[in-house]
Amino acid sequence: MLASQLRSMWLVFRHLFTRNATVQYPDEKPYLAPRYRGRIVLTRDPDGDERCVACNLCAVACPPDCISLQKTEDEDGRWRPAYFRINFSRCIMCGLCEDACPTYAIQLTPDFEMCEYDRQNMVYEKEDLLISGPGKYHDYSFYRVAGKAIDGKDKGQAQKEAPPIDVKSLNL
Amino acid sequence: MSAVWIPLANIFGILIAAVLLAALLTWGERRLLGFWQDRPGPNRVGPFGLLQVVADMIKLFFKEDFVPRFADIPVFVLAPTVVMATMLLGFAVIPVAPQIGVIDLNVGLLFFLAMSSIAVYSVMLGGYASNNKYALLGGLRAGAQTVSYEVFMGLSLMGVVMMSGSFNLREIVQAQTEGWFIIPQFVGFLVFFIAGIAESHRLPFDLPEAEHELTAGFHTEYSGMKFGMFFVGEYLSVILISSLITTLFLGGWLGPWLPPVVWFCLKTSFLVMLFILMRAALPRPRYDQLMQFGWKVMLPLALANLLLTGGILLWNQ
Amino acid sequence: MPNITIDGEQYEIEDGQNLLNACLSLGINLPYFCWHPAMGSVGACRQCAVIEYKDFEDQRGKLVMGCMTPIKDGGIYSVSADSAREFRGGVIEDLMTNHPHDCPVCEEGGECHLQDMTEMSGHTLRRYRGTKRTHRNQYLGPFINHEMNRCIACYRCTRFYREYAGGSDLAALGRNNQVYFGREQDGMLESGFSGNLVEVCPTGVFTDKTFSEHFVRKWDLQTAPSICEHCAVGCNTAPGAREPGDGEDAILRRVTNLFNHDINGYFLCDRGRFGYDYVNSEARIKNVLATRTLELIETTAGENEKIHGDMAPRDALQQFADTITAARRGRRRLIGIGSPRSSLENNFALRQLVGAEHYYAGLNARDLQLLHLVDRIQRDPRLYSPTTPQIENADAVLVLGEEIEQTAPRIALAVRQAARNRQKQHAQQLKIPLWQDASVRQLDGSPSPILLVGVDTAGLCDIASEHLPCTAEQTAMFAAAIACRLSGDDSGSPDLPEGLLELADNAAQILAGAERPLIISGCGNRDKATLHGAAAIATALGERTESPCALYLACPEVNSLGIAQLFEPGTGDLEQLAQSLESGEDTGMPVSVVILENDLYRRADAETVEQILAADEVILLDSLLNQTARRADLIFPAAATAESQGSYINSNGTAQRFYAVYEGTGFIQESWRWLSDAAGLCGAKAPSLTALASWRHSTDLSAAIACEFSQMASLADLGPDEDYRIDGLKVARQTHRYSGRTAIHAKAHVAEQPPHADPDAPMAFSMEGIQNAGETPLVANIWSPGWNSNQSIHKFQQEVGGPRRHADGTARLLREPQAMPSWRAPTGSAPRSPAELELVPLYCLYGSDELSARAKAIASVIDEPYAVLSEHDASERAIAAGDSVEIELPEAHFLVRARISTDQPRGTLGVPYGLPGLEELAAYLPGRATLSRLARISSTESGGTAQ
Repeated sequence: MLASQLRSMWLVFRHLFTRNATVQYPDEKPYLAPRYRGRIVLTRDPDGDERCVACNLCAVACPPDCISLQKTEDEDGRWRPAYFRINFSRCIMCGLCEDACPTYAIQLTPDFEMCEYDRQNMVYEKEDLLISGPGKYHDYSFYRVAGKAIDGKDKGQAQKEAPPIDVKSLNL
Repeated sequence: MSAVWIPLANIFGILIAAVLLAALLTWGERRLLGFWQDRPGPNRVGPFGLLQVVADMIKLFFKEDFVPRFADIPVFVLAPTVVMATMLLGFAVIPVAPQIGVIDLNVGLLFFLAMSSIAVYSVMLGGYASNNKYALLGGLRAGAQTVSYEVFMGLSLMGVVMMSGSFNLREIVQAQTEGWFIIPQFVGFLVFFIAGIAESHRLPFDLPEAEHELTAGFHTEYSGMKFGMFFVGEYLSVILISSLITTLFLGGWLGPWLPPVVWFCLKTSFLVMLFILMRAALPRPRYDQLMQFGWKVMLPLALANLLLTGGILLWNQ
Repeated sequence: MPNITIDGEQYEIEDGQNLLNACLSLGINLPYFCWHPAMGSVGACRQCAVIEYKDFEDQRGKLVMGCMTPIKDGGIYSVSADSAREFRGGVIEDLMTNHPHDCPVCEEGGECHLQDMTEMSGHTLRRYRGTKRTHRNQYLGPFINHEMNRCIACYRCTRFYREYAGGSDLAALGRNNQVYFGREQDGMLESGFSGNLVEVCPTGVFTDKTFSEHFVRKWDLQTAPSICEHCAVGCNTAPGAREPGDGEDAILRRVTNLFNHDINGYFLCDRGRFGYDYVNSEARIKNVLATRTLELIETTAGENEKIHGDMAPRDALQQFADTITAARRGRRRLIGIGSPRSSLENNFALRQLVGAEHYYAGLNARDLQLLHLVDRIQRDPRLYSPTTPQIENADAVLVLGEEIEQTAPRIALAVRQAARNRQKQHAQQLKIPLWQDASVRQLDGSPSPILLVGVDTAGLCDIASEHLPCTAEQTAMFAAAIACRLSGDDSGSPDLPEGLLELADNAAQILAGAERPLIISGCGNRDKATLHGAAAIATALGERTESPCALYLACPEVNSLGIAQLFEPGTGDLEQLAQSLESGEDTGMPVSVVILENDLYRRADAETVEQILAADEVILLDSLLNQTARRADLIFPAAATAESQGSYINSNGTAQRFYAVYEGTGFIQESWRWLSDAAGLCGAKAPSLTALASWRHSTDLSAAIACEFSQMASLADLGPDEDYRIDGLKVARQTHRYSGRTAIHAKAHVAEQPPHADPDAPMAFSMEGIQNAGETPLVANIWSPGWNSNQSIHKFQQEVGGPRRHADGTARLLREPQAMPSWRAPTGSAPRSPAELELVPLYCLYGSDELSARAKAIASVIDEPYAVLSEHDASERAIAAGDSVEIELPEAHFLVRARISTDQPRGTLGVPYGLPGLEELAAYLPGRATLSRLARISSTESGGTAQ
């Protein structure tokens, strides 16, 4: 028993001569992978439209319930969030929202430096979250795949869709 | 003239040195822990982070000195001063060097044992006066732990006393000119070292403040400088125990080439480092394991040591 | 009781079921699409495949469809056998080949039976790489959204719409892979039950358009059991609410059906489903309003109308309390006017505040007498008030002078099922199980006799064996004739024209020959004779068979029968109030009138209303701004049904409790709380006021009512009281998946606020507590693991289609049995001048009800004011359909469009009751008026032909 105690003391003591595992943040910035789970953004599809369709899946996946949004349907037939709010003071950066998102709209970025003197400033609205690019997924556009008709994409024009059927024709 | 000044210089010198070193140790310990855990530790305030102590002190001074409504207030206030006072008094009998030392008591060792026994009141009263379940449990543990370990703490020293024939610490040091007592009294050294850890509630025997069970144990309700006093008291006791081990087993100031003070400081520092290394490396035992270890292993060991030493001494006579 | 083996387990089950039904009843998950508990099996979707084994030796077995397999004693089946699973997985994979990949933008997502079944069948990866067939959608009106690409062709929609609900404008068009479920062309679905398509459709082809306007997923809805407040049937509903996210309080998002075996079963009418939106209307009163005393330079307000401004609730309550104090000290008269659309608790609190002698029902004498008559008739031991399943079982139905399609739609739907009883009997004779829906429907055999007698009964014409449009007077005489024939006492038989006599003979024979005859009538004619006639037939039948006969009497409003309980017959009407106000004028004492959730203009004639509203102080508690509110000095915002707890008594005399789904916005609270608060601030101490002020829970009032009125004694234990706990916890109104808790209010303040406390119910306005308390009546979120759609209701039932488990929160009134005295039809009415027309009330599903008419979607389909006259009267007055005509009454005149109908009896003018624009006419129905033509509008412009 004593030997094992002495051995662990010796092993710990040897660490006096090893390199530090930590870096001197903030003087020195650590390397963060592009898929690091930090501040959340809302991305746009390749055409520059909001990707978020307000399906609420991120909100329901969120363990601390810090995402809230309201669906609204615009004139062009698209679903969009009327508001989209993330309370970063509650966010645990787990990335479940990104996993749940069926349209690649919500993505986590390698930015974790979100310090505020006022907690209220940690509440991000849609305007704060939206970025102008597609984020990590460059080509995906939900409405090109989904069968819902929107302005500029009629029924039958989505991927792998046959032209709509005219029920009144005889060529069935 | 010098009959007045020299003792005064000794008194204040040792007092100030002890307190300053204890304060500095809060930084030193964290720095060492940092190194052993592959990180730099506190290195921001001042050169090498040395002024961290100052920063911490300023912080402690300016913290709200909170006394809970439900506490037993006089006892609550008094408790932290006890540990500080007794530990500082303990330094009075430590012979740092031939000319350095506060007092040359012929019952010096007994005085030290008395002081360290009184120190436990601080913890027990602090725990009791907080009127908080965690604090009370911590205080109870401290009481039981200290009482148990004190038994063989004293017994383990009897070998040294028998060999040197004196309770006077200076005489004990001088008796080691032939060879440090750590060699004949190795078992005594081990038992005293372990008991010393338990007495100062250092890891791995910090059960009175075991933070994952008892929040912060006996000092849960303490804040500000009252907490600071417990804190400094703990580091004082680390230094005290280390310097006592130096005196009793490592030949005190004795050593070649270097001045006696330096030898004393070097030996003590090494022991302090050992204390910190134990904190960094060893896990805390369960409370029942601690008690079992004390009564079933350490006490028989101390008694056997006593018997053997006495026997050998009688044989040699 | 046959014994069967499923997957090695032995079960004992009810005989006569199919295997799918049995599996679901036993709690075994078996996927299905085309089967519906209320509509039986057709075996179309091939989804419920199971393996049936010959005997225990048989290792291979054969594949059978669960819904088409009658269970047999000793049968051995396997649901989990690999071959069955593979088959089901293959079927769903085929069904999904054309599915449009749009769940995120589908309102059904999250409560989709197709999603559930796909998961259950284990089809998680799409292998099909070909093209998908697509369809164009149709506009189906303001209620229903159409997204045909999601269709899996289970045929449930047309089976419900056409075969169950009798609609004709939705059909399966096309064939094979291109089958299309829709209308011949764009247009609103005609059936008043179209909303059920939302729940019947297993996927998102038909979704709720009004819900989509303020859409949230099912898991984000806060629910509680409630009762539909738009008619007197008392259908159970599950309203869902959620905060809008801008810091405001929750809004009501939608209403869905909440299964109640004895009342609404699986279906609701469209008024009930889409009428909820009045709660969110612009006209909602959210703050305390008080008359402005400022001098206004110019206003658009009419004469006598008051201008209101916000007032601090505390000040308003103090003002109210001062009035009460003055009244207590004899310096003021305090009058209370109750309401049949407010809960018993609210009405009782008002009665407590003003004292029984100053408390009035808020109805005119005729309406209140009708209610008392209904109450009186229902006490007769020779008849009983049938539940919906009992109505569906009737083998002969006589509907007497009541437009049940419009006034009690859910009952009309039940009558529709009753029409199939002969067919069902035939099937039973042929040993065809009734759940074999397609086979049963193929049987010929005349439909069960449904006799419609009354003013406008067009709604059920298609199932009627006889349809006789006639005036209220003729209806009563006809009823008297039948009653005489049934009782064998011909002496009182009134003189009827030859044709009618024959019909009466015929009807009497049919009813006498029926095993389970059912008479339906109600207050619709606003004629006591009609009710007496219906009662006479029912009692005669009851005496004949020596067992009680079913008589359903439809009341006009949700708590009509409840308010009648609070008054002795002959007291409490508005005319009496006006009279007493008039006679008290000379005392010189100022008068304060407290009006509880009532628009008096709909209730009494202009003169009476004027007399009442001329009081010195008018205090109104209501949820919507209405005509009466313009005259009130002080208006308190009252909670709507979904925001409050209380009890209603439906037409059957069944008391039911409803629970608050969410806390109302702003200062909205239940009316009784306002009254209680005012009583608490009151300076004068009286035991009744102290009691009122001391009531803290809605259940305190229920208990007090139970104590005071012996017939309502069961009200005290209608449901668990506020102290009820399960494992020490309340029941959570929010689901366990409720999202956004820490973000939804964060815009206003990042720190979370504690949820509202609910003092009334053992339920919390939060996620905390028991989420699926399936053994109590408190659950409205119908969900079960793996069953996110409303199909999971079978997990809450004792057996599929049976009553809910331990959830009976209803109680019948305990009324003294009392036989009705014999009755003779009134003969001859006062002669009518040829210029006058008899005004008769017509009812509209959309518009006749006060509250639902204010819902946005319903308001958009309400007709403009119109009146219906017979062809003869029209030509006599040279009026063509679509002409603008004026109905002239002594006190008022109303501008309407003329419609002409062959069914309208001569000399009568059908006027829609309560239609926006004609609300004030309601009090004059039935009555007499002259008609004059104003202008001719070309008939092509208006759609006003025969309705």
